[in-house]
Amino acid sequence: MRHTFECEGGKRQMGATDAEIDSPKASKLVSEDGMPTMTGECANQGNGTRTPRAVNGQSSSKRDNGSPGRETHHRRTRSRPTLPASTGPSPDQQSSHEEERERSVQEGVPGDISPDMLYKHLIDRFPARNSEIKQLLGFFGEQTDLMLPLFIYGGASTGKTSIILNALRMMNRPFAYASCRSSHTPRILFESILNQLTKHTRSSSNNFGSSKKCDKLSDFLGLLCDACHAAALEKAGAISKGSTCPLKKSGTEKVDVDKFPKPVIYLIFDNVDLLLDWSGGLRLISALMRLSEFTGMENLGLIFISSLGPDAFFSGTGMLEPIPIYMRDYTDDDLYQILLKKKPKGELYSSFLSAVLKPFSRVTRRVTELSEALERLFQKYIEPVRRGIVKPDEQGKRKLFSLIQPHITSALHQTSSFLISAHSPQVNVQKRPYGDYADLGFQLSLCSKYLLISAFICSRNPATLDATLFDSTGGRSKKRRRSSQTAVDKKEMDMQEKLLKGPGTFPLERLLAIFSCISADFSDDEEEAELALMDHCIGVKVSSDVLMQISTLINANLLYKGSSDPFEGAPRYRCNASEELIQMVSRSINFPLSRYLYRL
Amino acid sequence: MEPSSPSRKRKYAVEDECNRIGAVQVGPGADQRKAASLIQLPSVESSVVGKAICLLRSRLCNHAQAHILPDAQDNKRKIYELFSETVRNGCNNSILLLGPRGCGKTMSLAQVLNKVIAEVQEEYPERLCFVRLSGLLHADDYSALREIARQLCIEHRLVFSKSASFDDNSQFLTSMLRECALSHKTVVFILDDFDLFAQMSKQKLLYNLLNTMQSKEAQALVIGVSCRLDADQLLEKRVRSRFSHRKILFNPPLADELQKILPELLILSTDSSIVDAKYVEEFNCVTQDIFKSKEMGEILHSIMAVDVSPRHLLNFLFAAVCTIDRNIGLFSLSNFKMAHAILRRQNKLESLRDVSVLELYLLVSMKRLESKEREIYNFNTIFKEYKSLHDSHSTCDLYPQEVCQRAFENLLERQLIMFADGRKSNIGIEFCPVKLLVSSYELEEGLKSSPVCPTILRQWFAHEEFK
Repeated sequence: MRHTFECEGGKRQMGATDAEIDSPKASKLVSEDGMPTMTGECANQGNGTRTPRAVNGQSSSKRDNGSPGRETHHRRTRSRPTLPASTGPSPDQQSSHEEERERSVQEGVPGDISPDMLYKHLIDRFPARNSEIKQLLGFFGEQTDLMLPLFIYGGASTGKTSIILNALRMMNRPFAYASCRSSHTPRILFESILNQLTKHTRSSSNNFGSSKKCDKLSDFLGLLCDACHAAALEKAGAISKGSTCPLKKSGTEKVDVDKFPKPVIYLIFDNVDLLLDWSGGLRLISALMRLSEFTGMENLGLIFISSLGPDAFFSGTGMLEPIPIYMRDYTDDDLYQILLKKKPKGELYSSFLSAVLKPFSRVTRRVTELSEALERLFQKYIEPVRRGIVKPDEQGKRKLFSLIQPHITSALHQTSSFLISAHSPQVNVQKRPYGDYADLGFQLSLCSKYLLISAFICSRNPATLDATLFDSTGGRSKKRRRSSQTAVDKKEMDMQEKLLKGPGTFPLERLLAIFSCISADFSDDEEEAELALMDHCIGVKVSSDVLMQISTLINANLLYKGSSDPFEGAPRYRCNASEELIQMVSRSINFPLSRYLYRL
Repeated sequence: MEPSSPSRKRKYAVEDECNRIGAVQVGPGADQRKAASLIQLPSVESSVVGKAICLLRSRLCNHAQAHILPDAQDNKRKIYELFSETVRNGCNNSILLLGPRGCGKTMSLAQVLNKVIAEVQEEYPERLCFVRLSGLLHADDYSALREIARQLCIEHRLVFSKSASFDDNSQFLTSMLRECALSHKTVVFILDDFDLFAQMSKQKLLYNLLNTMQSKEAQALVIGVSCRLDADQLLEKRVRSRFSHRKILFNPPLADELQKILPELLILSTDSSIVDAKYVEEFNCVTQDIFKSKEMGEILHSIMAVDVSPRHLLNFLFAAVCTIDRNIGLFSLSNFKMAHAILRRQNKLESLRDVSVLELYLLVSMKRLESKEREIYNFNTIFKEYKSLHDSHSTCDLYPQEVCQRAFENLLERQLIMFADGRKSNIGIEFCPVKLLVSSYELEEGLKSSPVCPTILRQWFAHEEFK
């Protein structure tokens, strides 16, 4: 189409001007080599960014905007490339601002740090990722090197996002980052990218609005072109300013900038696997994949980060295939290194890790989950040392090991509580309040407890058994006879079916009937007598209370209410509570649950 | 059953390929040394290398990839004739350009358009006007109509109102078409990803366009571009009857041709801006040598055996360019090997290699359930099977249900297993029926390659009856 031809023309033009670029570029490189002081500063910078999490790093680097002085100036420009100090709305004003800034920084603008240094720094920060980092840096290339779309994938907490953001930040490249998790609609996604490119910060002064309103992908393309052009201009201005004669007027400079190869602007889309759940998500991602084609801008570097492999996206749809980069999960040795890196006081922790890590990594290999679980165990491990019982020498370590040994298995088996509290992304995973079972028993009212138990009985027992269980005319012998009669294979089949089908459903009437039965039967205690009294005497009122309780239980997701069907009539209910929870509840009110449960 | 499955065959092929390539591999270090010894120049300036790489990269990233695409002269002639017929005789036409992605449909069209525009403008000025839509961007009728109105406004120097309603826009379109027909101006609609337009509900846009073309009131040419060869079958009956059924097929380039073209893409021209002629010569020489070598032939063969689409090859070349060591500045065979390794991905095996021991246990339990011809299973049944394994042979890997369930959820996240009905229902995860997404062969390979897999698990997997 037309724009592609224009691009080709542009390219040819680019080639023609390459000779012109040659000299400034060479001089830039020389200046880079001749700057030994840079090393220290970069290392500093690296340490500075280490503390905050990568994503939050943006805001932290923004914060030191206000502080005056040369040094912070340098640091800011390196860590946050897309942020000039200018706030002026008109482009002229902006460029003059910019010029001022550039001039002040001019001697210090080193372009970017040398690739070797960057590589070393990144490897230092992210152990066990050497080959991936090398590949990535190769793909990024230099500032003006064009790029095909990249697709980075790997399991949770393998450092996909942080490596990329760190690398880009260290290299001082202009980029915009948007996660499909926090930007959960196309509109928010588009607007957050535009905001970052145009350096618009949402604040109370602009009523937390975005710079541009952008709902549709087609609108986004036009706005993206403008935003990228502005960002590229600025960046290109910085490059040419840093190397060519600084005394040019802003007008002539702009003409120059058009001739220069444009710096690549990186757009990073994180968690794109979530897009699959959006309506029209697959179409959106295939459109994003071809953004540079649609906008006619070659200098877009598109990076997609996903926890699912490319097969989930690109199988058979015929869409443009990006270059895949896989971040494998860490091996045991890698985990050892990473966890050790987190702890400054090394020696004791390393011996602890070598004792404990192996069994834990058999269960999970996620750094986030492991570090949380091990932290607790470590507290137990060093407690004898802290109390001074054991000295941290070779013999002491052996002692410590024997002390911690029994705790390991129990910690392994308790994993549920820490696993849930770990900040791992849970996409479709229903959250279940494992850890809160103990508290839950005390929070429920007596009536709710009975309701819960009766709901559980309804869900587990077949409805035909109700009469024998709850009829006082003695169906108990009948039940025993029946259970003894069941053949073994039939029992097996039923068991399987029960495991597969999960708890059964029941109508409200059955729940209420069983509820009244069991609450009447077990009103021996004084408090329960009260309840039974209420139950029998003022039936109507109680049942409205009971209904209230039922809806509370439904809200707590302990009961599940199916949708009411016009054909089936009233909605059916199901008990979602697990057996352990019910056992606990029944123990707390001395209810003999086992008497009422039908066991296959 | 297993060995005949195509995926397995392909995997074998890929593996054979790897082994062959691996066997001849000398190791990257040796390669580099060899490459380094080839350089006669004392040292190549890094700026020169950077420029060369930059040039190659921009060549590979260019969307109008003229070099690699087949020269579809015949098709171009057809399109050109269609254009001249439409413009000269003032008639209405519609056509579909079909072919796999990356075969030069859009590019041929663009080249023809350039030619047509140049000629027509000379002969009769102001006779053509273009509207371009993409199925990916203008997926719904509203935004498509709006985009048409916007482009027509720009073309005719009218003011486009952003707030115009659907009705306004559609009325505007009809009146514009009428006006254009009166002044003998042909409106050319180019619909990229035509199949997506056909998948819209009711196909209103297509119907409206094609319907107006039936009357004398419009003079238009509709060009649909699609990578689905059955795009015209997607049309509704009322739309299909109004469509001209003209189709042009584009073929992907042949593998032999591609093999010849590929090295040309990586050759630096001597008159380019790179000053160092000696370096350019050296670079070209090394590149051509590599492409002539037998090992490179094998790599190319295995790349093309998987996918011959130009995009795939561009990706391959791009990855190779990106792995060039900037200190040396020349290609070496290891670059291409690495690029090959990057593109050759086996997701399932990768993720199987990464799962923890417990997760492997669960997968094997599922496999065993499947081999017992249990069609439906959920977490509870899997856990039961897992426990029964451990009851017969006590190992150190018996964990309580919650821990296992968490591992189960991890597997779901990795998409090694999925819910049988596509989504979870609200009874709780342990009761949802699931299915395994790895084949028995893949699981076997995964167990073999996994660094943590215990031996007893392999035995359990190998002997289904093993109790």
